[in-house]
Amino acid sequence: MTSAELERLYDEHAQALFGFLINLTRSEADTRDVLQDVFCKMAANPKLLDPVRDERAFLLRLAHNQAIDLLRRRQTRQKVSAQIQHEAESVFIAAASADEETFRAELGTALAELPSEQRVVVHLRVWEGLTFEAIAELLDIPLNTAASRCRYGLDKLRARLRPLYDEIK
Amino acid sequence: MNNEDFEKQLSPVPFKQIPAGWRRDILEAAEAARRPAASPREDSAHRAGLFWWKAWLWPRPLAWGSLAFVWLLILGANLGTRGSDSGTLQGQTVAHAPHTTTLSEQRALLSQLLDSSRPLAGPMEATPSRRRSDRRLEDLAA
Repeated sequence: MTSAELERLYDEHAQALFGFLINLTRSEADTRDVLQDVFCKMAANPKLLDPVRDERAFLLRLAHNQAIDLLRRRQTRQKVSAQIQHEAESVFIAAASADEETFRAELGTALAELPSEQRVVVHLRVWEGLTFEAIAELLDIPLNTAASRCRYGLDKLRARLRPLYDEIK
Repeated sequence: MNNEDFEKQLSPVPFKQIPAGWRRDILEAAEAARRPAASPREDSAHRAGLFWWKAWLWPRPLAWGSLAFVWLLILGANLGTRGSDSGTLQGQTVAHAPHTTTLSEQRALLSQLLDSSRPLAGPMEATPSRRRSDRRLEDLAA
């Protein structure tokens, strides 16, 4: 893989991977570590991409696996929970209006409170626009599991955001 | 509001931008990871000429066949020379026969000389050939 190809990969996918990882890990440091691991892996094994049809889905899968490994390795569930509480409001770009800013902060917190399995599926569905088939393939889970995790996750988010949404409206 | 509408409402909410400084750092790290992947092992193998041998020998059965033929030649030559070596040894044995005869004559002469000088070694003859323990028993009996 040439330098130009690496740069192209970065420019096309790094932002999406960053959003996915920051939502999953809730830590910029971990996000950076995982992102770097992903690109190092791609640089070291360029043939990984040869049989791949959807680069983005493949990179998301790689990032997901790396992040899960990282989180398991550290075994700092409590520490991660603390980070989630601390960094929940900093996942989204700051909004211009106060109402929108409140909504984003609340959404960030609501996402952080979801179990990571549901959060991952919701992210891939809502912000990556993937089908349940693609999500199931990416996460190596059954289709029904992907669909139900997404449904449960969205239900929780909606229940959490409804009062605020009604208030804003 | 159904799930689809809710998804549509959430999807425009943008995640934070990736920090600009990461691009250079991550790409540099990836470049560094790529260079070892081109493998220093291969480089050193190139230097030692091993890589060339490996590349030439492994996929070419003709080369392996040639190698096997050379080994057979060496084996044949080894067996051939072993046969002639044993013949030479036999010849050497025959050639050494007169020397052996001379040596046996010299030994006979030496033994004659020793026999003739035996009287001179009187004290030696006087020495009893019995064991010391036997002699001690005899002394005690006496």
